[in-house]
Amino acid sequence: MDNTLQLTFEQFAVIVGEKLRIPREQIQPETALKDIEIDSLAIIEVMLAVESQSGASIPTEEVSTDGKVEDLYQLVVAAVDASRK
Amino acid sequence: MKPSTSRPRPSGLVCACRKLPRGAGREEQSSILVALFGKLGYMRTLEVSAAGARSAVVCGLGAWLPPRIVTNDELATRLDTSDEWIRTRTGIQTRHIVSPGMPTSYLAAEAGARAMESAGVKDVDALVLATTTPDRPCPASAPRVAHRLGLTGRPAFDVSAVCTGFLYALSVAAGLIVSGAAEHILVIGAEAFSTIIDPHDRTSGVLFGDGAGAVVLRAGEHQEPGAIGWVELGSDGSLDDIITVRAGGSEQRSAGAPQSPADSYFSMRGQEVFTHAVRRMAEAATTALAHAGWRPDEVDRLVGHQANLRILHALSERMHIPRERLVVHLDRVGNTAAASIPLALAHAQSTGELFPGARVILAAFGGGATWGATAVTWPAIKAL
Repeated sequence: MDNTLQLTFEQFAVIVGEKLRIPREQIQPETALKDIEIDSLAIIEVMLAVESQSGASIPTEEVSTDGKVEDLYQLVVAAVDASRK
Repeated sequence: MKPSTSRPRPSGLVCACRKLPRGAGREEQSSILVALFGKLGYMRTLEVSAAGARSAVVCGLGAWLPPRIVTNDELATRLDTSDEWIRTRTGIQTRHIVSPGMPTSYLAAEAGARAMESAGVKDVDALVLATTTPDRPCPASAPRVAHRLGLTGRPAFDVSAVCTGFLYALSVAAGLIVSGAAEHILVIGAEAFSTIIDPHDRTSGVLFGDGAGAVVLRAGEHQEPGAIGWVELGSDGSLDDIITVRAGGSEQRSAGAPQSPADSYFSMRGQEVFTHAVRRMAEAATTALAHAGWRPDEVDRLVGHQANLRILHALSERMHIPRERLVVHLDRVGNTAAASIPLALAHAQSTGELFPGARVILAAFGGGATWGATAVTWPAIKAL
């Protein structure tokens, strides 16, 4: 992933799909995290994968599994942006 | 913490300076300086020529697990969980649990005796025990273990760094050997971890197990297989809440507050532990690799602390070391905290995953928070 580019939703969805071993098509912004059976540690696995690939530092506070894929994406985008500044 | 590669005798230097007589003549001064430079030259020679440097070398390995095995199905009869849930979330299938009346010292002595037999020694100069679950808050359990092993009179003490405990103990013991204070040291990681788990906690209750593993270190040389080189260690006390037993210590007792039942048991903040564990183990292991002069693809076995299969997978991914090179033992024993690395080593030795000459990285993360890693070229030993 080019460090100078934004993390697109597409790139993010690919990482989520790889980590959860589910088809990319099942991962839409409005998808509830519970519907793709993402557990609390899978969220961290996704975040750590983003961190490895982007060099960004992801937050370490507890992240809920109650939201939607879009919520998780926005959290990651904010972390990537913050790391660039 | 880098054990000095020479046998340090700084006191000699200090004494030479102190002995400088007041008003000593030029001739006397120069002879003292020659003596000083001679000493420094000698030390530098030793540091440069690592081949002759004194090091601690692994020469024995032992393990012991309490006989009672608890399956996921058995846990599911009393906790709201299932075999499928535990296996897919953690990779754990079974764990060994102490019988009533079996404290940590019992496990430690069993593993210690096997390590000494493996090393072919009947005596050691010191015993270092890494544990989170000592027999009593006071005193340390190591003297009791030493007594059980017929080592009464030998120095024996506990090291407390939770799941990093074994690497801290290994580093301390290696330092004692390099300093010349000891020739042989028994290093044990032992836990009756189930004794601090809330029996009704469906989260932590499925993760942990009991057991003990031990190594014997002997004085040897830096280039030998089994030599302990740089042990990268670290801590961050701002994270003391993410892995903890809150009550029972001076913090709660000094506050005069009664000990609440929940606080007397172990608690963990899973997501934070996962993140910090992967980051810190990868950083420490990368530093250990650099000190050993190995590339990641040259590592034969990565022995990470056996907490959770997903943490080990994330670690291997981050370090660019293939998953196939991970030693995995947690499926059989769960997370055994300070015992996890020596137990995993004994397991991998018995399966042939560890072989003489194998390039092995040990890495751990635990409560404190603490972390550590080191690189070892595996020696020709047998595990008992």
